[in-house]
Amino acid sequence: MALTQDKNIKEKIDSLTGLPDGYTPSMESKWELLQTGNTRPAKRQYLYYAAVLLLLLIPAWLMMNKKNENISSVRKNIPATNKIAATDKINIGKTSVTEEAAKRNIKANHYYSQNTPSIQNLKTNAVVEAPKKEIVPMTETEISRNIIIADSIPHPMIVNVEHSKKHKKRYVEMDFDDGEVHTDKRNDMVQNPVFKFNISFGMASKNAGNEPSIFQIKKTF
Amino acid sequence: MIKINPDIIKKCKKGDTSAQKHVFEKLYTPMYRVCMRYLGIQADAEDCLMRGMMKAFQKLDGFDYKGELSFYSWLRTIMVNESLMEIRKKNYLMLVPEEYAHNTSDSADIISTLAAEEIFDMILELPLGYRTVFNLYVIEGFAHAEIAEKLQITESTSRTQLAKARAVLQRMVLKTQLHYGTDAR
Repeated sequence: MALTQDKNIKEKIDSLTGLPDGYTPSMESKWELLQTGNTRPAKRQYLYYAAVLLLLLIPAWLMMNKKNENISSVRKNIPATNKIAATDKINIGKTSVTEEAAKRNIKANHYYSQNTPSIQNLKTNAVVEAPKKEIVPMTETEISRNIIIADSIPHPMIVNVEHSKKHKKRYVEMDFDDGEVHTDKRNDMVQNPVFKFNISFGMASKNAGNEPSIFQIKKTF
Repeated sequence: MIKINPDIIKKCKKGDTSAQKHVFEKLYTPMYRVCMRYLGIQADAEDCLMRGMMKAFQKLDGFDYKGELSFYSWLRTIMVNESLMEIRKKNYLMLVPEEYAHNTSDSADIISTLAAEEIFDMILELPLGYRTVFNLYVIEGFAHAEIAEKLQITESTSRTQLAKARAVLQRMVLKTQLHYGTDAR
């Protein structure tokens, strides 16, 4: 009996061809929706791809970060000082400030400001240590004032330079065109000169009468 | 049962949009009925139908044409599976424990006396567990073992659910007939 009943119900349900009362969907809009695939699973699929992309980007970002860390660690190893090229040689006249010297000084200052210490270090191996402070380009009047102050210093300034890679000491020569560079020892010698006289006597040769006698003086400074 | 011409299926397989649209419009109503019979909510049925249709067009290459009714049956199977997936996903299925089930007499064939639309509406009023088993057993023709496998329940639970569904439907019919002032047989 149940089988007959079920068969009847099945036939009746399958015979339903129309939509339920009150339900009138727009076939065009439904078709468009199907065409664009704008259904819930599609959205989820989009989210899935986004998640996969994110998972791929994270390791890439980490790798990039690691590379940057390596570069920064190299930078950290270098002493944090303002550096300039050791090859720069600044010549400034002692008594009078020449235009050439002033220009060179401006160029040198410009060079400091243009190149940050880290970048500069990457560009050149030869570096000069300078005090840790921000370097601001000087005007010409400032340069001349500085030079006058420098003139008042009795001895020329010698800046000790440490080579970052080769560990060789280099110097920036501050030549004030004042002749020789005197060290303390030399100054002592100038102030208290010591003369040594060495007189030697020798046997007169056969031709001594014809040759003049030699009187040798050896001086040692 | 709606027949689909083999040429249209071939065109659909080749990606002909007009042929696909023809199939979609022709089968929208019966497939909506299938989804609605399981889910009972219009919005869910529409979503389920769209997903089923998309899946069908995507997997059309795997379909073997074995007669004019084969495409309809194939699509209907997809819709049933999609509906069951939706039920499982939303944890709709709340099955009644076996001890509460009562055997109902099969002799009272009062349900089949009703009109098709009335039966459809009554099925929608059934609790989800009853409705799902009733649909699978009576309308789709699955055996209890198959239902148990699909719903991941025991066979006896499937039988119980079906018996309960029949009992509820009979009560509904009686109530309706009494409402109209007629005696149920």
